[in-house]
Amino acid sequence: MARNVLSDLSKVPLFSECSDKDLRMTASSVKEVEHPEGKVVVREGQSGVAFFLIAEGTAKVTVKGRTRAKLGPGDSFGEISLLDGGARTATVTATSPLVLYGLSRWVFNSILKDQPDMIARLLAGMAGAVRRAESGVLD
Amino acid sequence: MAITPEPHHFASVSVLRGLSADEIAAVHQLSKPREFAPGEALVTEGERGDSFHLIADGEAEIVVGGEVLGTLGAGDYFGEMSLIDGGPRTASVIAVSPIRTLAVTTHDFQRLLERNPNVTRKLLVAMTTRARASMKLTD
Repeated sequence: MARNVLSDLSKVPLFSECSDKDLRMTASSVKEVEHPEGKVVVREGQSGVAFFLIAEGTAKVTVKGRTRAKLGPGDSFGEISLLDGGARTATVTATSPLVLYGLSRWVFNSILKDQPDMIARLLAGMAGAVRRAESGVLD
Repeated sequence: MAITPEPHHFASVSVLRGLSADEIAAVHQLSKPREFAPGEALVTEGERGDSFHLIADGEAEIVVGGEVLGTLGAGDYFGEMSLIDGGPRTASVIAVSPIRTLAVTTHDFQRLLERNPNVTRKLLVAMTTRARASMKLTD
């Protein structure tokens, strides 16, 4: 089943305020990655260098062995790794055969080099996500 | 109990976390003193957010839909999201006593960001970290 990368990306909070051009450039830069069921995609504590969007399949998110969330097509993880390469805060394990779109920090940085004002739109996207998530935010 | 606003007060603003001492000083330099009389609205619910305020002296009430939800005093701040997205005020803040603030306008802050894309990047990381805590995003 073909998925629309562009449409899926636009729903990721980080990319929610991006222009069509930003999204097209990002969508055309992602790499498709496949994992079998049971494979650990990212491991907590390790440095993260990529953002992933689930195209097909399901995964579970665990922290110190305890399941925190279940992810499916359209869900994503790794925004912070994309931005600063810090340590992964959770382990993500495929719970079915998994197809992911991956975007590494290097590719992401080169997109930002070509579209320098995109970073302001990423910030606006994240600000919107904070406002939606924090219903009691004072601002 | 009044405070003399200093750069380190800005360093504790959540979205400014991660900025260097020089960058915090640059934000502090943008700030201008404002004064409000008792009963005056510092900001009004629903209006476009065009500034951030750090309270130096005095007391104010947070009012949402006509209901007083809390109070703010010296050292408290609000409007940091407005600096980034100029979005609508989520509450009115009404002075209860004579009140002095240090205000940074969205306009001045955006110009600072245009001159310093690395600051935008740091804000993006801080904002994403905050969103992650609120939304339980995976990273």
